[in-house]
Order: sequence, then C-alpha cells, then structure tokens
Amino acid sequence: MMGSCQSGLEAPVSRELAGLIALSRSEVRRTAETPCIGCGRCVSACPWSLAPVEIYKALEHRRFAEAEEAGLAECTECGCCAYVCPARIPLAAGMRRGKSAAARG
Amino acid sequence: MRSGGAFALEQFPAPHLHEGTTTAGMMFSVVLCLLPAGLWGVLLFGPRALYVLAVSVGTSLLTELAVSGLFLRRFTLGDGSALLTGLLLGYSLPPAVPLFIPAVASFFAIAVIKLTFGGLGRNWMNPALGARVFVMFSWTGPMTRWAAPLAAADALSGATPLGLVKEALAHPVHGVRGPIELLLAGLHPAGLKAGFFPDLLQRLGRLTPAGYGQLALGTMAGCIGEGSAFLLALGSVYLFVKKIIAWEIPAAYLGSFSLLAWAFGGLPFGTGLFRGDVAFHLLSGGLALGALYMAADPVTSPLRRPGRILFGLGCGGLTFLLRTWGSQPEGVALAVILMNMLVPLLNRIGARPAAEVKK
Amino acid sequence: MREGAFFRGLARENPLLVYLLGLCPALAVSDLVSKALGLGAGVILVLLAAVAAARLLRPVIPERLQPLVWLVLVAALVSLVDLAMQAWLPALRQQLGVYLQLLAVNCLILGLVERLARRRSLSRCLRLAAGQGAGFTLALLLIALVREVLGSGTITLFPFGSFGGVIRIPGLSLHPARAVSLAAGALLVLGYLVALAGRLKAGRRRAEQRSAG
Repeated sequence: MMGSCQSGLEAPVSRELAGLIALSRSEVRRTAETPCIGCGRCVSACPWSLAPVEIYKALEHRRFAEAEEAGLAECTECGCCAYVCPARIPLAAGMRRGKSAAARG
Repeated sequence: MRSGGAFALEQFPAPHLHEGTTTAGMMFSVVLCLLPAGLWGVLLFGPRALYVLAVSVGTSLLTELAVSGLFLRRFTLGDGSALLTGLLLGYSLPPAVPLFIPAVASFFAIAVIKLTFGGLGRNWMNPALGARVFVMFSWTGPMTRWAAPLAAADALSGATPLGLVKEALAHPVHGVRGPIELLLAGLHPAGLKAGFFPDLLQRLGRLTPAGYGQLALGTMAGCIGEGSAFLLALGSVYLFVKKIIAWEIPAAYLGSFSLLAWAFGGLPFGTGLFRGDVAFHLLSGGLALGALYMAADPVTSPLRRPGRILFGLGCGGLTFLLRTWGSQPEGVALAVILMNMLVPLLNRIGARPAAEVKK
Repeated sequence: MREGAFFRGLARENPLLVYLLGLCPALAVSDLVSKALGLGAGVILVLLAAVAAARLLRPVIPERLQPLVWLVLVAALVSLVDLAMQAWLPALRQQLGVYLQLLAVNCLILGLVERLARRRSLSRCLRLAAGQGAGFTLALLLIALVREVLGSGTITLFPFGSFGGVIRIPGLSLHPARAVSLAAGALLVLGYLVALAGRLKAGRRRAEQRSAG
C-alpha cells in the first residue's frame, strides 16, 4: 500500500527491499476519479484521525496553512484513506505531493 | 530478461489496492434498495404513480445530461446520482399530481440545487427535498390533493393521516386520546377502486386491522414511496451493512423524534406528558423515507460521528416541532433542509484542534 | 456599447448586477413589473436631485458635516417623492409600502451622492447619476419580468385607457410557480442574473485582451 510502482523488470533488487508484489489488472480494480461525495470513509479509515478530504481540498487550492492545520504534517502516507475512497481520489499521493509543495511554499 | 512484452506495467501512485466500492456502485445500491417501496406504491396507487415516477426520473436524467453537458462539459449520468435524485423526488410526491409538477421539480432539483453549485458533491441542500419544498410552495393545491388507494371509487379528497390529525386538532378536541382514535372515527371502509390487482388488494384491505395496520401497510393516502415504512427499512438494512449510509444519522433522528413524540405527543390531545403515540408518528408521513434515505445522503450530511449525531438530533427535533406546531402537516422536508444548512458548522465538531506548526 | 458616463451605469458598472448595491429594494419590490418601474423612477428622481443639490452645496458645508447633510438631503427628497406619489399615484405608493421610504438609507443613493459631490463638472455628475439610476431600474425590471412571469403568470403595467394594466400569459397564469414570487425566488433570480452579468463581463474582457494582445 505504500510502495512505488516499477516501470519494468530492469529495476534493481537490493538487500533493503522488503517485498515485491505483482498484481493482476483485476486485483488492482482501478477506476476513474469522480468528485468527492463527502461520505467520510477516509476520515474513519485514517489511523491518525485526520480528515484526508479536508487536507486534500486545502492542497488543491494551494492553501498550505489550512492543510497544515488540518494535519498535513502528521500524515504518514499509509494510504488507508485512498484505499476506501469510493470516488477514487488519489488522497495519499496528494498528501505526498502536498508536503513537498508546502515545504517549497 | 524480458521487459514489457508479455505483460504491460501500469504506473500509478500508491496505494495499489482498493476496497472496491465506487460512487456509482453506492448510488445504484441505494436505488435498488428503494425499489421495493416504490413497487408497493405503484401497486397501491396504480398507473398514475408509475407515470409520476417515470416523469420524475426521466426529467432528472435529461436535465443532468443537458445541463452538465452544456455548462460543465462532462457526462455525469454514469454516477447514478441523477437517477437516485429523480427516484427519491418521485417517491415524495403525491400520486395524483399533474405531471408538470414532477417535471419542474426534477429540473429544479438537478439544475438549480445540484448543478448550479458545481454538481455532485458540491450541493449543500438535499436536491430531492429542496425541490419538493419548492414545488410545495409553488403549487400547494395540487400538491395536497390526495388519492386514498382503497377508498371509494371517485374519492380524490381525503387527507393524509397527518393532515387529518392536524385539521382535527385545529378545533378543540374532546374525549379523543390519541391520533389513531381520531382517525378511526373518520376512516372509510375498504372501497372499490385500487391500483393494480384490485381484488387482491381489496382482500388485503379488509384483512388489515384498521388504524395501525393500515398505517404500517401504507394503505392510506400519502406520497408514492412513503407508504411502507417496513419496505423502506428493509431496503436500508443492506445499506447499513455495506456502510453506504452512516447509521448515526437515522439512529439519532428516529431516536430523538421518538423521544419527543412520546414525551410531548399527547399535549395537543390533552392527555399530558409521556402519553404520545410514537408508533403513529413513526409510521406516518415521510419520516422513514426522510430519516433513512434523505437525511443520510452523504453529500449533505456531516463527515464525522459527533457532527452526524447532532445532525440527526436536530432533524428529529425540528421534524417534531414542525409536525406539531407548524402550519403544514409534514415537517420532514423542511427539517432536513434546515439541518443541511448547518452541516459546514457541524463539520467543525470533532475536528482535531489546530496543530501547532513547528518551524 | 458607448463608454459615455451615462451608458457605463447601464451595463459595465450596473449598480445592482455588478456592484450589488440596493439589494434590499431589489428583492422586495421586484415581484411586480409596475412596482419595479415605480421604484426605479423614484430612485432616478431622488438620485438626480440629490447629486445636483449636493454638488452645489458642497463648497459651503464643512467636511465633517457632509455625510450628515447628505443623509438629511436624501431623506428630504425621498419624503418629497413619497408625498408626490401619495397624491398622484396612491395605488402604486401603497404597493411599494415601506420600501419607498427606505430609499432614504439606500446605499446606492447615499454612496453615489457622497462620491459625486466631489466632482467638478455638474453635467458629468448628472450623467453618471442618471446612468446608475437607469442601470438600477433596468436590472430591477429584468428581475421583475422573470419573477412575475414565472411566479404569477402575468405582467403588471400601468392602466392606460382601455388597457387594464395586467397582461396574462396563457399557460403560466393558470399554474404559476408561486415560489418564484416569494423571497426565495427573488434571491434565486437575482443570483442567476448576477452570474450572467459576470459571465458577460468576463467574456468581454477576454475579447478585449485578445484584440489588444
């Protein structure tokens, strides 16, 4: 849930590699993104009791102070929020990008 | 070492697994769960009800297609929300309305309440309920002409149970200890004309105990989808299990409403406190539809549990106030809409306090 | 659209649809076309007289007292218009009710008087004021047309000769959407018109940028 996609089989494998997962297309269940319906599943799923949707929306509008207030720094990018989001919003990826964007200011 | 070739690698950010739900899936599930109640309504009220539902759903789909396509440049019918709105709206209309009313209501719900504010997820008021209120104030006469399904042949009048009670309570009431007694005094025996399968329904009507039985079965005058609280509740069980709707809202709504109905429901009848007829209130009007399907709509309800509970409590309280002392017999639509407006405020409750930003 | 002082107030700087001034009467008296026209005329009269008087009086009134004096001036003029209407147009005066007298504290009138009293040229002042007044009336008329047609199925004008004053629209007058004539309808119609005005303005700006760049 927190790993990164590899582009091909040439990627090197080192001692630190914790695991390698190969998923079939049907297991990935990828669908297009739709608007947020405010179902609150991300809020229930977050292990840190954050509200990913609020952070994500603040980041979308580049309101970094608001995002920080909503808890951007506490996000560990575990991906639980994106796992349950029915609208398939890339919440975890948004947080990751948002953190670097906020740092850059 | 092969690269690419036999299999293609898709690249997208983590997480790479998903629980499997989609927005469209949720919407269509709700539609499915609503169907039994609607079928029962059509059965009771006949083809007229079917036309109303068809116009309502058809207009909402068309409006979404046209307005979304023209102004938002998106094709959004696939998410199922227009279908759901049209169906819910149809369910909350009386079966005898002239057909321009579901058309205008549907158009208003989709174009004004939903799409004007940005489409799915951006509306702050429940589209079906907002449209119902609009239509109620615009064409009050046609919206309050009821057709009792198992009444005498041409009886188009006859109010809903709540309407009858409100009318009766306008004049001083003596010796009647509750709404059911009031209704039994004026109820008509099962008559000649019904919807589909009239003979079967007639037999059913004769077998049903008068009063509560009729209310439970939904064989009194009312809106198309409101009749059977049981069928609505049955459908909602699946939605709760699948976590498509949050249980806190209907629980708080029905809980607070029942408490208030029990505590103060007897006051208009002069029987004192804690003598209210909870069953009557739970089974009549659009309460089941409103509490289970309208109030719990994710877009217009709070995000977190504390907010949701307060939302439900507010809806219950307002519904009771409006039903008992409001000028209209039914209070669900206005109550939920008022609470919808408070949702941004309720969303702040339970939010973690602003973290100190360490520099 | 010519950019003259008068025409500016009609579209580009329309007080109601662009600056959102004078919302109170806009929502209250826009349910009938005749009321909209009546109030609009009142606004224009008061505006012209007040701007002219303020412009003439400004040199002799100390700066600190000016806002007070403008207020009294506008209130006096509104009272004059009120009395005149009571005498010659009593029915209309009754329909407008308190909203005619409320013009005394109307933000559009007071704001314009305050702003224009400083200008040099009297004729320019009057043209600007007339433009704003006309723009307000035009916007009010638009709202009233929509609200009355949809909300009552009629268009109410002033009786003239054998014409009773009310035009009935065939289909709508039987089953009008009464909610549009109510307060909620006022806000909705106003909202949509403001959005439309904004859209037109953005389109014009884009066209200008394209032709300039």
